[in-house]
Amino acid sequence: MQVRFQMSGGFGGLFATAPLSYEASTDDLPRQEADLLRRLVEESGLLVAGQRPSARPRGMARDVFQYQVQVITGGRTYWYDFDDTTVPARARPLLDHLTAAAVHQRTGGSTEMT
Amino acid sequence: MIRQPAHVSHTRHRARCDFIPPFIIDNLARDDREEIRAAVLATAHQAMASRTRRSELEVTIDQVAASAGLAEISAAPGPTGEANREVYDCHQKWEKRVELVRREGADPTGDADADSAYDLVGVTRDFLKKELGRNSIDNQGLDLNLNVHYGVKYMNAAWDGEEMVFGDGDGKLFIGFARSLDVIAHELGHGVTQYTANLNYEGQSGALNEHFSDVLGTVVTQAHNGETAATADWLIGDEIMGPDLQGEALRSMRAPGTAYDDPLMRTDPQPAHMDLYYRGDADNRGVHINSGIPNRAFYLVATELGDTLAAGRLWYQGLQRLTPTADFVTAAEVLVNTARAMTKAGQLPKGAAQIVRSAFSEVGILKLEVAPGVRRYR
Repeated sequence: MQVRFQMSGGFGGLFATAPLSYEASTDDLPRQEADLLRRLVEESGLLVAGQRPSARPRGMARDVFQYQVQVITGGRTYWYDFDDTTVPARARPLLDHLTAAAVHQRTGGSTEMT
Repeated sequence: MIRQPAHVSHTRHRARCDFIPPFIIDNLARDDREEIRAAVLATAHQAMASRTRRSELEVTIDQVAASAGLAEISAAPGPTGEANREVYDCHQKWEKRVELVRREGADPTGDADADSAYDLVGVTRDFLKKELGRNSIDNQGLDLNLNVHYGVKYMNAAWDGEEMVFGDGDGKLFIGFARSLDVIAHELGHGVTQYTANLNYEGQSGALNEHFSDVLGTVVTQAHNGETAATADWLIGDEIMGPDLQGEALRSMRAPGTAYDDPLMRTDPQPAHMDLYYRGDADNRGVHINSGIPNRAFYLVATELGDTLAAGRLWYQGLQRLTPTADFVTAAEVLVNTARAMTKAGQLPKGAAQIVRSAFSEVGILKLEVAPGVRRYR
């Protein structure tokens, strides 16, 4: 399973010109981390056959974060485009994990992963 | 239960400005009689109260407002609410309104975020009333709901179209979103914009949307802190930077592009001039990026006037004359015209319109007109 993640936005319009991103393949991760990632993806409810990715909403939300998640598994690609007002509740633990991993990677591991 | 603004359902005015040819409206707007001009503007503004109609009226309203020469626009009167605050503790859930912890007038809870949010929203609400004559964000006393401890280490504060949410941050990168007045006033500013110009949140209109929120943020903060244009730091988001971030703030209105340089956030991307206008797709085509350009213009006007509050009042009047698709040039011209009208009404000093034009010229949005043969010196 491959996961690609990108986020930007928020009050500070952060990461617009240098999106905060994280990419991982369960083949390359240590066993425990691979299992964790796989479990979070499965529990997120995102891998539903035939589910269409969310369109970028044109609502009235301001200063929210935007997230893009791509999961490649079982020969299929699942692609999602959320903001803070449209993330499905079940997918939050996955997003929190990916956000922490992305921050950890960019800061060279100087911030602890949660 | 979410209270809908009371005016939306019943003030669809039957005077259909969009059926009257623009040139007639324009002529009426220039009528010598002030009551005629005011009536035209009020009618156009009533129709603006319905968001779906605004795009149809954009040229008309801009003509009317700019040519009416009216110093002040007041929103259509209607039934009023009391702008009551309700603070909800979301207990680190990704849900709003989990537990109501403080109603308007109730005693402090002892939770720093809940009590700060309550106080600072009150400061902003009271500023809107006292200094701008505005009754809450919709000018009709809309209640203000605040959600603190929203989400898990949510490094953000946001306006979701109806109410505010505040995360806890992670204590290292970002902290105290609910305890920062400029953040709170910025978010409430999005509400004010939603009920006035309703600037589309992308491209230049979106950058203006962000800009007006930063303006309200800094104007309210400076007034509350007793600062002046000369003594203020002109920073946005300086109070939410955690110990692990390298930078003064998230934005500087005085010097866009200098607020931070950090391994996580990289470098502040804001331009201070149209020459460095961001043309990419990120951030809804740069709404938080290109806002730096009009932010710098506001800083110049406030500094040149020596009066941030006066500049804030001018900007508030200008906001009410804008429409959802306004771009930088339109906003600048509306602000120049509004400054002229406010000067005539004795609300701004002589020369204010020239100060505004000069500021927008300095950031590359407008050109200054120079008489032939006159050499300009810097």
